Amino acid sequence: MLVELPTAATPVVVAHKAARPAWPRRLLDAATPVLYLLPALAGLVLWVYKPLIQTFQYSFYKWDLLPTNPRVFVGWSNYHRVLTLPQLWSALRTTGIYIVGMLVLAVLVPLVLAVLTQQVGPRARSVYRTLVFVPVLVAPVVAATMWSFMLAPNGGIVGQVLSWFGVGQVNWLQEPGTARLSIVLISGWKLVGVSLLVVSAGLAAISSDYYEAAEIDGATRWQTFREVTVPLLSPTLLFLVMTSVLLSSQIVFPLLNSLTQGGPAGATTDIYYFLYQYGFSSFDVGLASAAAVLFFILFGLVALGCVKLLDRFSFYDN
Amino acid sequence: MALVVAPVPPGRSWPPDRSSEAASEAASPAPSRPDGSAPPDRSAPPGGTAAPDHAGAAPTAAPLRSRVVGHVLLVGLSVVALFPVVWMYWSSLRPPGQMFSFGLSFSGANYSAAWAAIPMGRLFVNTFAMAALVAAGQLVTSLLAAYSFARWRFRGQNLLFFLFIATWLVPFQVTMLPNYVLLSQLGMLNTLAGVIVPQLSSAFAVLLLRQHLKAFPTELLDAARVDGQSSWATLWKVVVPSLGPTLAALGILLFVSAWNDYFWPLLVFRNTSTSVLQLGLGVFLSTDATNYGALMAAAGLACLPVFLIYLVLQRRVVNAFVRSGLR
Repeated sequence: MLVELPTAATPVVVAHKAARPAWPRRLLDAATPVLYLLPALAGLVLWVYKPLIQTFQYSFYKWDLLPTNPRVFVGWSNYHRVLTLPQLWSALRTTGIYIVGMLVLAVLVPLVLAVLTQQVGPRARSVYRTLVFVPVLVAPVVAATMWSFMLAPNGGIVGQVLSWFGVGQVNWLQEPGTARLSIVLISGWKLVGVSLLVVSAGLAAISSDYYEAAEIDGATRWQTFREVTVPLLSPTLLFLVMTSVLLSSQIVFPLLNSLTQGGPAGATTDIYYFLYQYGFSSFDVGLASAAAVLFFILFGLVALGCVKLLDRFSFYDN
Repeated sequence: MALVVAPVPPGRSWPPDRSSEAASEAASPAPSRPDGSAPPDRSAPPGGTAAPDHAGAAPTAAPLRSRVVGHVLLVGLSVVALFPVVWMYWSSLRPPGQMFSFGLSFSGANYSAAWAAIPMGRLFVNTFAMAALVAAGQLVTSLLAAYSFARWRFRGQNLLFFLFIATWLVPFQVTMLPNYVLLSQLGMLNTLAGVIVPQLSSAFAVLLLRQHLKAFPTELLDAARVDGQSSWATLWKVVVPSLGPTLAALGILLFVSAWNDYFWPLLVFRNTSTSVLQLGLGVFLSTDATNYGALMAAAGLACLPVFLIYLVLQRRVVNAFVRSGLR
């Protein structure tokens, strides 16, 4: 399903069989598709797959990133060191919090909103689409900047509004709990609108026949939602779940680096920021690489699970 | 955009492709409806097709009430989405001493302060050059690759295609140390080339274009072949002209994500005064966190070009994003 071949193509060899050109010509014909592919492929190999293999290598060495200093083979000790670091487990826990936050703000809330706003007419809908889409265009660092001003203690607009409701001053980015919450809310602000558009597009693709059938059968709204909407929407929802789980760490990274630097006291540090700090602040290449390998495998397994689920659910409505 | 939106790290590639497949599968029982592989410039909003169906099915009081609920929710969400942006521009125009008070006096002082605090002009030129070259390079390499996948079948093609899909499993942070070493060996640290060259191929763009080329009529390719046109000439004279709107939408998307990108500049530049806007702003924010007036002005300027593009081309941009599933 993933690697399904295009049906439109015709083998070029067949087209030239009748003429039987000389061998250089035939060689060129056979190489042509690869030549077209080469520029894009070279980029991937050089900047994604080769460094991936190198990360595996680095994870068995002790090195401080200085070209003049030797790399010392240390076997599995980097893995042993990283797995016994308390910071790793704290970073994993923080990552879990971010993922749960993203699942709520970028999957659950958009799903509910999409269902509740289904009846809005097409013209109004396209206006709303234009507006709710805006946050995804805002660069992460710009989002961090505008929110740092809005969340500023002693005068920020969020604090002022909350004070109307009797909520006292909150040092949003200085307390561990509220700092994590702020990171989740800023990322959620960026994603909720575009996720809503994705779910709405999925909803619109569900044939109204199913809803009419459900209505004839006398189904309640909740039954219709549970028995018709959710199953038929499951590929879209799984896609959103998967991107939220796998990309949440990438989405929060610029916020962490520019807004909290992983603090206060490491409270907002997630696994990728943990990697970044060990690589570029402590220059502990071996440890950072060992952690990178572990996260790569962990998220690979999560992705595999999601793909399996997607395949199981994709038979719906076929 | 990803998601962010976010930048397009290699990780964004596979899900978008899959999402449009899923959409086309779900759309299949209604043959009259265009399927998910339609070009992203399809003018009807995706929500538009289903809503009238329901309204027509039961035009009673219940839909009216749920329409009102829908409008209230969407107005609320729009306010949440827009307020921070509006507040940023509004505050950037306030006098520097009155950032936290409400009032109607305005001044451009924050903008001159921002201009003095970070080398805005230089960063603007750099960011524009970087984003334009990255987007153009990605368009060309991905067009060639997608054409290869769509036109020919050859041994190992499945494996190669899988290499493109699988890049989304490799997060930037996993490969960043070896990439840093390579950049330093190539002498590209602290140069714009160090940001541009590693990003010249985009798996996401390859998958998106291949999706569109799958729907390309074979007869046109065959006709060109019978006419004795080379594959190169066919690409530029037959395929590219028909892909115009798709390439334009994809180009905008790639430009915006390159403009907003933070990872690669962070890796490449130590000297931020010659880098790009996102990095300059990030450093400004982490070193002078309470200089709110100048920060708002700098942030407002840093995303102004993206907003201008959006004002002119919003429908096309939204469609490209939603269809691709990029976030």
